[in-house]
Amino acid sequence: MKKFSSFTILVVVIGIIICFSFNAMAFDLAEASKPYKGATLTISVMAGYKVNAILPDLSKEFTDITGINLKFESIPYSETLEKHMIALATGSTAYDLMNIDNLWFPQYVAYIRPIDDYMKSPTLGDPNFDVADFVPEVLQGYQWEGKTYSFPEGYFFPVLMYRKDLFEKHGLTSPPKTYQEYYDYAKKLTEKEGGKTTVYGVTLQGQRTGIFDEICTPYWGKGGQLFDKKLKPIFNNADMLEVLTIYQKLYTEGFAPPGSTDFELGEAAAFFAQGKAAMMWNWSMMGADLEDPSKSKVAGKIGYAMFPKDNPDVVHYVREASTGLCIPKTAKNKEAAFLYIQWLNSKDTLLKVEAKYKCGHPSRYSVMNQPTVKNLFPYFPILEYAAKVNAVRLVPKIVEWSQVDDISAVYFQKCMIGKLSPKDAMNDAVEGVERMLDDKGYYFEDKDYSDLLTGRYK
Amino acid sequence: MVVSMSPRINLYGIERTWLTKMNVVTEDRYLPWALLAPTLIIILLIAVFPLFYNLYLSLHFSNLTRPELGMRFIWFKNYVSLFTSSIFWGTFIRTIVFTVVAVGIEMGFGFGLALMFNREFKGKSAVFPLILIPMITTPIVVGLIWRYMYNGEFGFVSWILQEMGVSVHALLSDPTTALPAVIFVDVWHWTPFVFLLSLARLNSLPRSPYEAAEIDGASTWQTFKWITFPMMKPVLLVALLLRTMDAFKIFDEIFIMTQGGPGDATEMLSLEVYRQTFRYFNMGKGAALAIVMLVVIILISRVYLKVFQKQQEAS
Repeated sequence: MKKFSSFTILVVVIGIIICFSFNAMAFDLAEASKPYKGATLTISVMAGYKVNAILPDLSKEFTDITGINLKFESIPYSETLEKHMIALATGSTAYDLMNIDNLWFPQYVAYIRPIDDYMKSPTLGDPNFDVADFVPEVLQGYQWEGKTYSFPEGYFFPVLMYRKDLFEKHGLTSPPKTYQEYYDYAKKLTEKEGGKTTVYGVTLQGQRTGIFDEICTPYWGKGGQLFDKKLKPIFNNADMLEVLTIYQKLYTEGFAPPGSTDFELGEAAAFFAQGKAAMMWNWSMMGADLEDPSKSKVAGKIGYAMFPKDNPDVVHYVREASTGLCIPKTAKNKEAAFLYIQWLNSKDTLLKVEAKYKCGHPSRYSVMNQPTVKNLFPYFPILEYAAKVNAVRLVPKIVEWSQVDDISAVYFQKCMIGKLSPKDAMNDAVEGVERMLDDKGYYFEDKDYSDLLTGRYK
Repeated sequence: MVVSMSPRINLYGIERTWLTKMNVVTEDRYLPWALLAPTLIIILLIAVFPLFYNLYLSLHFSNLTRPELGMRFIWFKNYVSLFTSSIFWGTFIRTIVFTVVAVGIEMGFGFGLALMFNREFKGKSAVFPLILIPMITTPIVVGLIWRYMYNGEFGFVSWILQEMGVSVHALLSDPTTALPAVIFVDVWHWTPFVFLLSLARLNSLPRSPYEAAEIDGASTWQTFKWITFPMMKPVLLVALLLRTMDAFKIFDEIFIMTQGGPGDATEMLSLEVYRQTFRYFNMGKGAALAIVMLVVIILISRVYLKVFQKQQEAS
């Protein structure tokens, strides 16, 4: 019998080891969840998001595999932060998972549990999960001081939606490229009949809860910053003056509906869906219903583009938003909760969320690029493009962001309706924000803050 | 101190049982308290303790989103911050204006309606329940109804104003019309309350002064001025006090209709309390604002009660 060389034996041994390693690397959810079989996870979800509406149906598969039961409680978006904060501050153990908007994430950090150790755990972590497959700025929305707290179920940001048919009618061959052009287009596209406006050039989200976001997009598109390194507000400058002036003119000159002070994303989309506006700044996922002929009169007529950016050198300028499930520190079933969010945000499940349920906001590159998903909605190429060119960004990650937003919104809303000049509005807003942050002690030590905290992007 | 004459029967005429087997003196002193105890405990828990805790909280820095900072005693810094804020004073004055105008109109309309209904006319029994409908409608539903009625695009009120050629038809979107629009809603909602109280009192007024006035040849106006109005003053003061306290802390309708906008045109103190406490989670500041509102309401009610007492003494 021929003797085998040492080299051959070594190769065979290495091959066997590699085969066993692959087996070890394959993650078995049923096996990992065995200790938690029979447990019930109570999950608080925000109403109004399609992904949350389909979760009970989607998650039956998880329960079948793991034997972990899921109980969903839906809360209106406007009440979510309030209800959650009260539960968390009082140490309630009612919820194992909380669905939160990444906008509020800094306010939750003190109460929720990071999941890095679970991700690395040999018994709980899925080695094929592939965190790098998420759009980085979107994942960052659930990270704090280097720790990860959740994964984004979806990813959306404000885009320009426009009526291709009306553009053609008025001889406009491409979307506006600057904010001034946006105003010029709005003027041209406003149609009147018998003294009454039948089609408005734009919708505006003038509600106190929406106006600051809408103004920040063109402002960031000019390269404007909200804060300096000391977290002092600095948005009373020429760029903001120009943005507010145009925004005011859009409303006071009648190119936006008179009820715009009452509009947020839903109202603006409903108005647009009735065919009464030619252009709209709105969150990308609103396109899912706008393209549904049973809900929209303009389905099939909408064009999607990145919102006009005045400064071509600016990279990050549209605020991205996402929702994610976080584990409270007081949750009773933390490990089971982690298994659920790992399963929910896996490539296979998120692919199903889009391919089967058509939620319209994929947060993974691999899902965006899937042939079954790529052409689901006409705005998907924009999502992919924005991720590729790093156009998206987060708001400054300070706990008091909602107060910054609210204080500024009061003055910007007054400016919009013509009761305050753009100059006074931005100066008053800066003064109010600085006073509030001073009250909170941010200027005690005269120190520099990180770019993530101050929202300083290039 | 009253002592029962019979050892078996206590001060209240109740036969002493094993429950009341204590000496007569002890029973007289402590039994009333024992009987009142359950109610007192409930009042302490529901009203007194929260009030004192709120006062305690108002003297502290406490933000739910910054648990690492804990609760810090900062003396009256929250109050100083309020009283040195132009936003607070603007909101305070706006709330006073809202209260005075809304309640004034409600009192006038309500009393006037009651005078009209204090006589028989055709269809009275059909119209009477219709007048009460706004009052029995939940404030949130009232806010929703009028929010859609005032909507600039599809609201009924907006449509009527447009047909009339009025340039400003989206009433809640314009700061000059938003506050009057909200006042109108409050008047619509609560005038029936004043009407009901006034009508009940009118129906119970004695007939003899009116008969005497008729004999003396008094005119309608003289009868109203010297007989009806003086006799109505006590109930009108009660209605005025209740409506003032209620209007001063209005929240539901404004929250639903305008959220304090456009700008801060309809911002009220109660909305600011909500915002500080449940949007910004500044518990200390929210508590301080709530205490300020309480003090104002107490002062207003003291003034009213003094006027009421003078009225009682005069009559």
